[in-house]
Order: sequence, then structure tokens, then C-alpha cells
Amino acid sequence: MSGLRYFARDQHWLWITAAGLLAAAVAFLLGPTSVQITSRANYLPLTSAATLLPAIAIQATLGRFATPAYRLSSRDMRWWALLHIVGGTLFAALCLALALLPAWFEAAGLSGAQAESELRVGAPAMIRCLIAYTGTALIAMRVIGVRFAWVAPLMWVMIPFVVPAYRIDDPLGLVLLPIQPDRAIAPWILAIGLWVLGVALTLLRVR
Amino acid sequence: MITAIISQTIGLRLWADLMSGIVSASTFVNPLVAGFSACFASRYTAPLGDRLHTSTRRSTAPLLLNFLGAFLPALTGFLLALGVLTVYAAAVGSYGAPSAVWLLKLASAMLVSCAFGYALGALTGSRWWTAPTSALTLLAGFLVITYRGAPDWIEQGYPLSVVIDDVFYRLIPLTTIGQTVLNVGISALLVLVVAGARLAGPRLPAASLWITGVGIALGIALMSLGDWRYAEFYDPEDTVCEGSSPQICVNRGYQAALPELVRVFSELNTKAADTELATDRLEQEGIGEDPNPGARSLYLYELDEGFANSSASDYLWEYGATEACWERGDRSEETIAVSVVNMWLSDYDEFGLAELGESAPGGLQYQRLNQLSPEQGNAWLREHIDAYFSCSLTLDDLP
Repeated sequence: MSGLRYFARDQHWLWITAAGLLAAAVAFLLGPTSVQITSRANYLPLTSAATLLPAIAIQATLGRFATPAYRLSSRDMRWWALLHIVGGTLFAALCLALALLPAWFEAAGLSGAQAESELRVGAPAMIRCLIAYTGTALIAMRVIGVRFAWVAPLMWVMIPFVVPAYRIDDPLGLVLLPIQPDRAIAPWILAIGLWVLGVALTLLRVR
Repeated sequence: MITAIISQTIGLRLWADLMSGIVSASTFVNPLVAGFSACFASRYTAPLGDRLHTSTRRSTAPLLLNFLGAFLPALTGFLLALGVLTVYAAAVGSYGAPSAVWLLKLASAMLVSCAFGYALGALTGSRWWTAPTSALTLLAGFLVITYRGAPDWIEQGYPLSVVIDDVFYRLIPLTTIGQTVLNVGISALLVLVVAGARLAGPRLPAASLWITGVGIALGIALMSLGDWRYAEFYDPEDTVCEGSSPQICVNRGYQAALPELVRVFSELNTKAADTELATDRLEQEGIGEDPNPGARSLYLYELDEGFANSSASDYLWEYGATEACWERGDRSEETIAVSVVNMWLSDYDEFGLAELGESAPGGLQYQRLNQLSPEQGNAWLREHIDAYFSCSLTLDDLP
């Protein structure tokens, strides 16, 4: 059976879709997330934790490429694995962006110092979290296996809850990713770097 | 363990901080325990169930042993971390001691997390979402409770606790023991549910159900007796005082702060002599609900650089002209003038006025105030104390 048929008939897409929609629903219900760190910072880790759902779903369902059906396929599965990761990430990011659209409009209506604030955290930060957590899960999958890879992004999400954030100077977002401002460049580089590394390691594994 | 060590208040060594860190750590350790336990159960309970079904023995012991196989590694890790922390606390000379009932409650919270994951894993079987779902469900509950609020009995009984230890609170042992018993009872119930659904079925010994039921009832009864609160505010006698004008009293764990506090507040008292800003006695906020008659509150958080000056600044805003200035707005000239006086009295230059000088409102006046001797400054303050308290002081009134 061709890779395309396996891929098209795979039920795991339903899980990724459900996870993406659920994350978007949480973001929508808890939004607007375009908040100042000083006033409602604690809400962002709460909403960003929702991005774990699609991130883990994308990673964990990759285990299907290790099943006999795929292994016996004569086609190169790497393209399908790439489509799985890219499609899943884009879909979840789109869901989040749509869910946070009202918050974005609200933020766009602000003016003066509020609008100019470098501390503004909103939809871009959420999508950045999604990308970073997905990349982390993919890297962890290569290191500790598909069964326990969810541990790595989960622990990263929990750090802002257990570490006294005000004591840490973390412009890169290595420790406190969810509370980095939208406009911060370094955390974006970190997130995309992790994602690319995760994808590369995954593709090296899939045949 | 790492969380406990970095949770320590800067400049202090308190067991209460270490315990707070352990509690904080449970918010990510317990979901992991649930996830690993779910993974363990999803792999090993099914073969065990097959063997038990063909067995002639009527016992839940094999299942309990299987569950312990999931829980004991987590418990061992907890005890090891506690042992290392004890050695660390002794080495650095930490004040206080860990509460045994509190530690038991934390261990029972880990047990109930493990049982939750075990039940989910055993009932759903080996699927890719079993382990992360166990962990994320516990985490989601914690997030909802943290940010949306919940009744006390849910908030304090939830296995991922946000309640922290503090030197100014006393645990209510009855409630904490009740929570521990309840957690053990719930864990037993979850394991029995697994046993009933997947393994022994109707062959479960009736005694195990009775024991579990009694355990849960006992836990609820004990918690009810404690009014659902885990701790109560108390006035510990373990305080230490120093100085005479003013006399400053703090919890013994904060004793290292006293010399600097005495120095800063003595200077403040000299500058503010014969005004309502001077005080005879200061008591650390947190010792008792209100300071004793004749005493005022001292606010002390961390022993970082300039902590005593920061504390004096907080004191002045508490007992100074805050209310009157609030009505004028924080950018009014009067409020700025009062701020300058507060900064001079507390020697806490929070806006860097000493360096900014004329380029900042009040900067020049701040420099001039600092050039006065304490006696000259006191004479000026007494002359303008009414304007200070009514927040009608202008920058022109300052020297």
C-alpha cells in the first residue's frame, strides 16, 4: 500500500486536530492573552500550557512511523513524516491565531505607552511556545524515546510556576519562555532552532 | 531538591523556604509520577490480570505489589531528595525544622498521583496518549484551581499543592493527617477500581473494600475537625529583639537582619524625632495578626543589598502620608515632595535622585536634604510635619 494511502487513512490526524482545537479553545476562553507581564503575567503560562496538547500530539503520533505497516512500505516515509510535523504545527498555530484574533484586535485598539510596551505578550508568544514545545518533544523523542518524550516540554512549561521568575534574567527564554514579550527576537530564534533540530533528528530516524 | 534550594529567601536560611520549595516541586514531580505510573500500568497490569484470572487464590496482593512497583521508585526519589536537603540544611545552618505531618501529606499526594496514573493506565491500556493524558489532567486541574479558585478543601487536598510553608504559620496537624489519610484512602480506592475492572472482578475480598471506605470516611472526618484549613496564623514566642530606639523584633530565622535594621531605623528615628514618624517598637509583619499595642509593623522580605532601607521606606509609606497623597495622584508635586522626604528619611534612593540631581523633579532638594546634619534635618521636618502628613508639601518647601 502506498505511503499516501496510509497517511490519508491515518486516524492520528484526528488526534492532532482535536488537540489543536482544544488548545485554541483554552486560549480563546482564557484570553485575551495580550497582557502586560506586570498585571496578568501569570495567565500566560496557564494559556501556554495548552499549547502542550498539540505539541505532544504531533510528537507522540509520530510513533506510527515505527509500526510494521509503515516499515514494510516501499516508499520513503520521510516526506510523510515531514508533512505530519509541518502540517500539524501549522494547523495548531492557525487555530491559536484565530482564537486569539479578538485579543489581537483589542491590542491594536490601544494607544500610547500601552501599545508601545515591549512587554506585550499575545498570540505570537503563544505560537512561539507551540513551536518550541513541539521541537523539544521531537528532540526528546530521539533522546529518551517516543513513549516518554512528553516529559521534556511538560517540565519546561512548569518552570515558571516553580521558579521565582523575578530573580532570573532570561532574555533568551531558556527558562521562562512563556513570559517573553512578543517582539523579543532571541526566544523566536530559540524556538525555531529547537523545531528545526527536532525535525532534522526525526527525519534522520524515519526511513 | 533544586527547586527547594533556589526557593530560599535571599540572605536567609529557613527550613520553611526549603519546604516551600519541596511543595512547589511537587507541582511538576507529581504529574510526572502520574505519567510514568500510567505507562507502567498500561504495560504490566494486563499480563498480570491474565495470570490472576486463572489463579485459584482470592487475593489482591499481587496487584498491590504491582502498584508498589510503580510507586516505590517515586517514593525513594522523594526520600533521597529529603535526605540530601537535610544534610544541606544542617551544613548551612537553616533555622527551623521540617514538619513530619507536612512531609507525610506530600508523600501521600505523590501516592494519590501515582494511583491516578496507575488506574488510567490500567484501564485504557497501552496507547500513545495514556501517559501524557495522566500528567496533563493533573496539571490542568492544578492550573484551573490556581487561577480560577476552588473551595478550600479542594485547593488544599489536591495532589499538586500550591500551599506553602511559612515561619509565621502553624500547621493544623489534624487537618494535615486527615488529608494524608484521605489521600491513602483514595489511592486504595483507585487500585481497587483497577482490581475490580481488570483483574479479580467480583472475587475482591470484602475486607479491602471496607478498609478503604473507612479510610476515606476517617480522612474526611479529620479534615472536617480541622475546619478544612491546613494552617493557622500564630504568634510565635520564638522572636528576637534588638535595639532601644526603636526596639526591633523579628522572627528568630530573620535574626541576621537585625544589626542593619537597628542602624537604619535608629537613623530614621533621629531624623524624625518628636514627630509621629518616630517609633519606639517595630514588630516584623507576620508575627501576630497586628502588632502589639504601641508597636508598628516592620516589612521584611529578603536580605538583599539595601533591604533595611527598603524596609524603612515601606514603613514610611505605611505610617506616613500615603492616604493623603493617594488623593493627589502619584505625579503631583506634593506627592513627589513627600517621596523625596521619605527617600531622605529611609536613605533609600529608589529613583537614583542623588545622581540625577537637577535633571529630575526633586533631585536637587534630595541632595540638599542629604547635606543637612540629622539634627538640622529633624528641625526642618518638625517645622513641616503637618504639611507632610496632609501631603501639601511643595518642592519649594524643601531645603
